[in-house]
Amino acid sequence: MKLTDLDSGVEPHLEMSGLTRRYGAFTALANVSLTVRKGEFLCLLGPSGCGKTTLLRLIAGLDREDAGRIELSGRDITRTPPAGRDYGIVFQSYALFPNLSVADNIAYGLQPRRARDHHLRRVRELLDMVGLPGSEEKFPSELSGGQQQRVALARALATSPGLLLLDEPLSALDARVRDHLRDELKALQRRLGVTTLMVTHDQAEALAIADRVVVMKDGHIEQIGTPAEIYHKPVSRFVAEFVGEANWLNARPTPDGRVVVGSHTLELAAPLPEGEAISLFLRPEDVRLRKRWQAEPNLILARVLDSAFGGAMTRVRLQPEGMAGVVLLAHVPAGGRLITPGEIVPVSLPAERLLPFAGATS
Amino acid sequence: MLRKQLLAGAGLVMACVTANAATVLNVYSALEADQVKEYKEAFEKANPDIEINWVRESTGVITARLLAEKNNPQADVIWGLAATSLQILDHEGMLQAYAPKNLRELSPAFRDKANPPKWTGMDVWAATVCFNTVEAAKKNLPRPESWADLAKPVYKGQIVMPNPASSGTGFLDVSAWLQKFGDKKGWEYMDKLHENIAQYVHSGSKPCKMAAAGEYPIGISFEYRGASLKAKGAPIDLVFPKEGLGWDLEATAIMKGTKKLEAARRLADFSASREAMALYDKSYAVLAIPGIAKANPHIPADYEKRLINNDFTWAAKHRDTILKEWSRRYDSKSEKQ
Amino acid sequence: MMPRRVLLEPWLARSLIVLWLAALLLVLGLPLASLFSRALMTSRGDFAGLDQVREVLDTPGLVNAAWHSLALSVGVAALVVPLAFAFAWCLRHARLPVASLWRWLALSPLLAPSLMAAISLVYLFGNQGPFKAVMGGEGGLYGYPGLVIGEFFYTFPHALLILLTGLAGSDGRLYDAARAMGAGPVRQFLTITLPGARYALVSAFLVVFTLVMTDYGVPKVVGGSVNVLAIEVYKQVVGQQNFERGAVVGLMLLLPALLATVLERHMASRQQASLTARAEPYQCRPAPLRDALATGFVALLSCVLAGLLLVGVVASFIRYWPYDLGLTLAHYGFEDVDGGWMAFGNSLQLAVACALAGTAMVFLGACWSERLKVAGLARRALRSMAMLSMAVPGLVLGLGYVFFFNHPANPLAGLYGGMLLMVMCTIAHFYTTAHLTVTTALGQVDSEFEAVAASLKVPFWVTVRRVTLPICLPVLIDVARYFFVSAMTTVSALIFIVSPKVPLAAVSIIVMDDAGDTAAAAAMATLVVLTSAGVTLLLTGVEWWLGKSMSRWRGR
Repeated sequence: MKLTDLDSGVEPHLEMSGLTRRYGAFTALANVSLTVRKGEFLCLLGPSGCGKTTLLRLIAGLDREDAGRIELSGRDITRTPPAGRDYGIVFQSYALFPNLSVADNIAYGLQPRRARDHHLRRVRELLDMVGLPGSEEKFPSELSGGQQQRVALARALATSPGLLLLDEPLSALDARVRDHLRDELKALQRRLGVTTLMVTHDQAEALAIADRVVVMKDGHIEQIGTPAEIYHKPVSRFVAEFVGEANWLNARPTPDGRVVVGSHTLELAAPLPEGEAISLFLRPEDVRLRKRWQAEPNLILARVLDSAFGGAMTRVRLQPEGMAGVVLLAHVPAGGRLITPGEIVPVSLPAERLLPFAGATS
Repeated sequence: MLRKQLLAGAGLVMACVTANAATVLNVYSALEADQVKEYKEAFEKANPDIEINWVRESTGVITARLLAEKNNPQADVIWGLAATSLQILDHEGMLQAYAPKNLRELSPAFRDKANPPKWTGMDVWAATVCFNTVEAAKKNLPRPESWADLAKPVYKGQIVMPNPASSGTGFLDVSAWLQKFGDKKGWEYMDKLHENIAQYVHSGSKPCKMAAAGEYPIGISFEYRGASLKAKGAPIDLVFPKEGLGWDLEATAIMKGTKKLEAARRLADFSASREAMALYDKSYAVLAIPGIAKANPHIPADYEKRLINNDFTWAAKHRDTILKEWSRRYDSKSEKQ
Repeated sequence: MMPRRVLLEPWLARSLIVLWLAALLLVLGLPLASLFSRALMTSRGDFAGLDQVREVLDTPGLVNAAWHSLALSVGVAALVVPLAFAFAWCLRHARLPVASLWRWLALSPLLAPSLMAAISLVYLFGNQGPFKAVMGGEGGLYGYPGLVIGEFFYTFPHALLILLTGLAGSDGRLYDAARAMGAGPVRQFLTITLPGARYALVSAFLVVFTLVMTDYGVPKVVGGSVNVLAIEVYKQVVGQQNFERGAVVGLMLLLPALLATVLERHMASRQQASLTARAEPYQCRPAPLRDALATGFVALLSCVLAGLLLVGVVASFIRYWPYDLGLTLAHYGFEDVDGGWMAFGNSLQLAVACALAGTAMVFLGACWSERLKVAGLARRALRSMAMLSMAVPGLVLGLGYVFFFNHPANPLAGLYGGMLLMVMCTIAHFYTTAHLTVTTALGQVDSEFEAVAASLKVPFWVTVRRVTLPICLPVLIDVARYFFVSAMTTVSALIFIVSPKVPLAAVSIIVMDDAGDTAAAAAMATLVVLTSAGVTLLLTGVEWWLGKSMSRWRGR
């Protein structure tokens, strides 16, 4: 699979090829190539140590690559110092200058330095944009975390950069503020059309905000795709496990292209991988509870272990008959019938949703 | 006091303004702070076209400094430094030979043996015992009259002397004892004296100062410090042991390579003149020109006769060996106690 | 216009790092190197290899001196550190009336040259002192007793400062947890306080060790016949004008100090990892018995320390100790003394110059070495040089200056004997402590400021001026105060390079004491103490005012 695929007709804004960065014996980034399209919101997602922050710092020029090449709008910036690149940046720690007022923070990079009236106008405009009108004279210590991050965002956007880099910008915030700001950030990015690259370790956040998500692991890219692709069609067990919740079933292939799980034989839409042991991946919302038994493929019976109320859906734990030791998690939409622990229900495991991966599940 | 400072400051500025035509001589010296003022005034009065810029320090420090600056001498003339130190500098080839105008009048013992001499003497400073009469009376200590007296058990733990490894005065004493008593007897004497020493200190003035302050009743020091402390009111007597006194000269020399040789020579001439001797006479009892010193009430008439026949060359040559032996015998005093 | 500046910036950053490195090499590295080379040479200037070293080791008494120095340093450290720890504990963990008064009194010896304590000791416990019986009678002060007390006075405040900081870091929540689990005060002390202060204890021990090892004022006045290495250097250089041997002994002095510093730094780097950011300050509850005992202990020790200082002040007014106890101001006239008020004026100049230039140099140097992200190798070298100064005893540094700056081939030889060289030497001598203070402050500044500024195309020097400097200002005032007081009181680094043209107060104290003008020496010491105290008060005032005006953006 080609990792740098592009929709035809969409202009690339930032192109990286063969980026490598080592710290002593540790390889933080191994031969990574990636293209960011103009105006898109791209998320770099992965666990800590996967290289996502290193990649961001290379783009920002805050760190120097050992090999590779970076182009911004067709211009080679590999050797250009940070000030010669064209981006705004927001950090998890806000990094607001504590001794400067909000207005001075936002105007910090405005040119020419003496044009105060111009600065004042621009600051007001930006504060309106991030939803903090009238905060010019406040100091960062007088603002809440969410407000500080808005100021940091305004500061990063003040010089109208072509590229916006966000390094875990929401991670330090409370859950409620985080969700709220996430949506605003997305809306703002849409409105301004600024190409945005965000680093995060929160998969829900990445899926919610990004046009495309880049999942990284151990210094290389595992998968690039839209949130839906990443969620429903993970290319590797790592991506499948990292993004969202999943059920895993150990299975054996049969010669006719089906698989055996416990005492059941299941049909699959996808082609099987090589090997005697495979595991099947199924999202909880794809586990479907039927009202009554009917003859159809991949229908099994399961005993309800327990269920937990989860607002829009109910989380149900099931113990399928004929699959010793396996517990299936199902997300059942609210408003359906009452599910009582102990009852036995027919359960469908849709063939088009079952994804096979090589190797057994531990 | 402040007014005086301001005046002095103003004077300095004036001097700088008016003397821009004058030759400035860098003169290194170990003279006392109060002496240099008078000497400078007298010299500049006699030589209005020359100005003295003093660099004044204690003997050890100024010698160390001259040696340190050997490759890049800053001094033009040395006026008032121990002959022993000048001997070391001469040994390093740092001095310029010159016979001052008045050389004939100087006592032959008080000038460099070379001809023309590398240095000429000014006056003599000799070993002196400072004896605190008040403390001695409290402790019933008799007044010592000789070096031999100081080795008597009655003075046990009552004497302070300078460490010869730290102080030129201390070395003066040790070298005098060795020259006067001979090598064997000299060390034997010091062994006995050592029993009475309370402390070896690190400067030549300090023993007398400690005696003057009553810290210890007896301090082996040198006469100028003793006399000046006595003048300040310290209850001390100056004792000049009768066997003979170690002594050193204050002397003058010209630095080799000075760019102001002419002016330097005139300072050397002045230093050996009778006019200068009159200045030295205020502080010292024995001058380089014999027979002109006035009698001093604190100093016995036969003082000059008590000076031993000091061989500077011998002392300079054996300094290292003597100090090593001395350290071997006495440095670990505290453990033996 | 813009692209050129963009290219200029990394180049300038690199140049600044190299420039600072070169400056530190000049004031620290090269003088040390020339001292080194001198130790391997004969007095004729030929290469002697290790012969010189062997010869020095053969010198009788020298090995003894080394042992004395070692024993004294360990002994004093073993005495000072527990007492200073107890003092610090009382201040932090007991409720004391007027706690800050005791603190200030106990720290007051920092304002005085080490010689002042020695002079006071002679007045109190010398053979004419009213309390000589305490020292075992005649001459009892001179030697170890005098050395230990004198060095105690000199080093106690240094240890106290470190331990106060060490105990300030203790987390109040740990004590709450311990109390909730029923741990008594002893158990709390053993399981929380002591382990928490472990690093500070070791650090204080090593600092005291190094200070004592390299001090020269106290042994000279009350050392009696106990020979120590610092005095041995003086003997070789001033007494016998043997620079080569002096250099070798200097290296012997450098070695343990270097070792102690390396050890201390190693500990420090391990400590940093275990510091938690969210500690809560310890709140102590009243306990009448504990508080009464602590107050008694703290008050006693503070009064002894400040009292010793006071004795020196009183000594400066006595007409002629011990024979004329009338009071007089005459000693403040400094008649017949080199320099006198001029020496005081020079010291003041030196102190102001060091406070200004030193603070600027240390602050910018720390900015370059900690905040710039270019020239990694040079930055590391700059950092090591900044740490090196702590390991170099003043006496050794001064000696290195003589060798290096007085060499005819050195184009800077003209500086020799001037004020500028003394300023350089003093800054170099006190660089490390100042550097560490600034680095700690810089460490608390968000590490992404420079990155943000670069993304906004604002050059780093603007960020230093507009952001880093204002944030660090209170700390810089501390550093300036440290430089001022240190320059005012230091003797060891300057004794070899001070020139009669530019006499200094602290050095003239030694000269006056030597010449018998103890009272004048005490008078000069009193002036030094008063000046240091005045400036300290002034700067504390400035800091308070700054704190007030900064309180808005700092948050409460």
